[in-house]
Amino acid sequence: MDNETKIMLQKSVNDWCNNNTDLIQRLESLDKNPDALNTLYNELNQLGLLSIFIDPETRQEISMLAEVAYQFALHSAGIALIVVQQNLACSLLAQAKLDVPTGWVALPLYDSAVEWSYQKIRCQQEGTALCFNGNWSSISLLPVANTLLLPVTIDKDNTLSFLNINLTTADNDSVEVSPAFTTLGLRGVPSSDLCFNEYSVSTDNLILNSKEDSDYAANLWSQAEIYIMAIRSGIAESSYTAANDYAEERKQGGKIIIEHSLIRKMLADMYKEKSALEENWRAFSHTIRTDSGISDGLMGIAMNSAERLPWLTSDGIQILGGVGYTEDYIQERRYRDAKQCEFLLGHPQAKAFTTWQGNAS
Amino acid sequence: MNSHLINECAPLGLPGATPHELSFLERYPELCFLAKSDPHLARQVEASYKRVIEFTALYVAPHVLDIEIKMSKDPSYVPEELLKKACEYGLFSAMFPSYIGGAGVHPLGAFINYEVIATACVGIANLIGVNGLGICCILATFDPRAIAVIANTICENERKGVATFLSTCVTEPGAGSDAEDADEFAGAQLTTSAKKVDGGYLLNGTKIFISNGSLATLHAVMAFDADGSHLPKDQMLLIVKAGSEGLSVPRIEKKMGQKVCPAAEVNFDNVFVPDQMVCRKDKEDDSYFSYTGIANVLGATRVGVGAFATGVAESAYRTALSYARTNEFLGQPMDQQQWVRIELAHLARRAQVARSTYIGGLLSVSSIGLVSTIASKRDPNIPSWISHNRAIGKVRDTIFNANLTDKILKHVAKKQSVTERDTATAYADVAKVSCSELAMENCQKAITLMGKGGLRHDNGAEKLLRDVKLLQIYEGTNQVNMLDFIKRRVVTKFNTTPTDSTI
Repeated sequence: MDNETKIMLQKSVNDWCNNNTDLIQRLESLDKNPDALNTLYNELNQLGLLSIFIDPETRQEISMLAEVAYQFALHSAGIALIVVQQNLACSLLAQAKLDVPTGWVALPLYDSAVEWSYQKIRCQQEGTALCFNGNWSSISLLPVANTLLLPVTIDKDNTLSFLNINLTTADNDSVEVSPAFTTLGLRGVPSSDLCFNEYSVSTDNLILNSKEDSDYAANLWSQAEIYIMAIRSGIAESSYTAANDYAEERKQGGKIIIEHSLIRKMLADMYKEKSALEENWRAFSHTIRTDSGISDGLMGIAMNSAERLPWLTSDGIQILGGVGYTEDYIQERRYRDAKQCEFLLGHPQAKAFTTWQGNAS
Repeated sequence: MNSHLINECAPLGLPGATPHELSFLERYPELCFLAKSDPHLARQVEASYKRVIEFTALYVAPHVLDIEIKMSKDPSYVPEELLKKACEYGLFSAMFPSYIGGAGVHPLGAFINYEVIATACVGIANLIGVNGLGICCILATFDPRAIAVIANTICENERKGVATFLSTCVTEPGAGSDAEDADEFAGAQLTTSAKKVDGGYLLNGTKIFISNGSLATLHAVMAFDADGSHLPKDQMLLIVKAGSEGLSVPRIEKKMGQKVCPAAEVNFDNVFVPDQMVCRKDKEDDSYFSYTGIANVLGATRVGVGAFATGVAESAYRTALSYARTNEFLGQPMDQQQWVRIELAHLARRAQVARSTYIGGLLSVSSIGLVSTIASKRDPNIPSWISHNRAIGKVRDTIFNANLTDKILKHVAKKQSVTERDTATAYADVAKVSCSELAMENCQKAITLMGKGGLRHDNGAEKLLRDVKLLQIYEGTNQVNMLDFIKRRVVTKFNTTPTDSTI
């Protein structure tokens, strides 16, 4: 991505966010206006941000999607995640040579590829018919999605595929979608649980069922750590900026608090951390290989970013004091989002075990 | 001990969340000496602990998530049923001596009770416990008249099933943590002032983030004497009744957590406060409610935050344990995996370290701090039919209003040495900071262990992470507490005062 494109991208995302603060607020509200996500879909679709990432061969758009995710995360980590999720779905469908459907696509974003096979979904195949039973918890955007893409393992031969179903036509008794539940953070991205009860579909609904395709999906998931790092970096940057701005305005003990060396130390530490987070995803987004998962080192860096961010945002609240704890300041939302982001693309310990086992084997 | 109740005391009433059962003294081994040296007091503390476990198990734990959702949508919602039950259990008057009409629960018992309630919901522990902050402020003035007014109001209302909230109005829009430190008063932008007029004072100013500000029947308001020179000695404490002309509550904050305990803005616009509701305005008498008063209050209440935090740390452990018992990780039951057990052990360890730390602070403040001068003597156990008798109450109030009582209390106050006061307050700083940090670490680690399940509201852990953050902020941020600690314990060894020059 050239510098000109990058600047244009930054400007358009920032302008959009600044013009849509009310929509961002509505998405985060517990009493969501159901139209908010529909409006968001139309807006993002119009901007062409839901299908940046469509060419599985070249994947030149990696750095562009990471940049978009970062820019959105400066304002709303939830919208950043939605953009990433839709682009991942878009990439999977492109690999399967399918068109991207209209409306949101639900994906299980809180599970790593190694955890897919441990889900309690069972599929039996008889001829061209498939029968699904079991459940999968916390599927991102499921309450509002038209389409579901779910990694499944067919019992017969233990191969990994993706189930591609249209939720608007699925029978509610056999495909149960729980109401959206309240989560700690990323409240603009509603999640719910899925339960299959003797759900029968044709094998035509199974996509990406070759070894090459399943490797592609696993690699895509692994590479997606870059986008999640970019989102974390956006949260860190905005936390630091908010704390710094507040420290320059607020007085305590008769002087501006940024003049207290304790506050300067805290800000310096935040600056160090947020700079490292940004440098990492930017550097790696340009060098990442498209035909494999990310390196163990990069996975380690990604996991460190997940681990450190909740503490950085907590320090941000600490500098703001009482006001940082209220919903009037976005810092409380960043604190919640930061912890939620720790679990994107899987349980941190599952990732650590997988990385180590890959090396040990 | 009734194991059913302990079971129910697991956060949110989750089944199977009960860790290994511990007796009272196994749980609080630091108090073993008490069982030998003062068995009566030990029995009293344990009995009070059991009652609060019952209250928490039956009326707090099962309703916490529901109340939280209601208060998220409407911060002015009041959990009436819960408050009625708190009155039945005498939780608002617990610390008052029986001759005033309270239960005479020793501070050791009262603070342990806060920990128990916080195990189910720290917001509810704060809702009830923050009264203690106001009470401590008034006790710190050693003003017998003011003490009697507060005690009578709280105890009488409680008997009628009406919860009386006493808010403590300190923080202002331009002064947050500096208002928590007597040394910072001079530089703090505190603007609330009281102007002397016939028969009382006119109070003007705005206070923010006032816990229970919207529920309070009485407000204990810190203000400067408008005719003074804005020095610590000009600090006054005024007790203002809710509904007084000129008093308004224009706003309730929308907080991230501890939603059950509303924080409000309270405005005072020419509010008249009669002389008898103004504590210690005799400035020539070294102003009790200045440095000494603040130090004493913080010494007591920061230990209370340590107790809250310990409850949260314990809750994080129990929630993770419950989850591990019922969920799998990579196809295996979580609690069957050694690494998970070690993580759970660390959660339990941190909760125990927090408990030992605040109990240490509590013993210190009970022995040499504010509480020791007022409440460490054994309660005379006056039967309620005597203490509730109106005629006897009038005699009691007359005694409280007498100059002799005033002089005795002043004498008691002056007996406390600066070293004792500093030691107690320093321990309280340590308890507040250490316990809140341990609680924060436990909440973070519990959710990390639980994975995506820990992020859901219905599992309880995410609420803990929202709630716990406030413990590092109120009663002075942890940074302010540490600066206070170093000042009381270390700074005398420094050659110079830090200049804090710009780096």
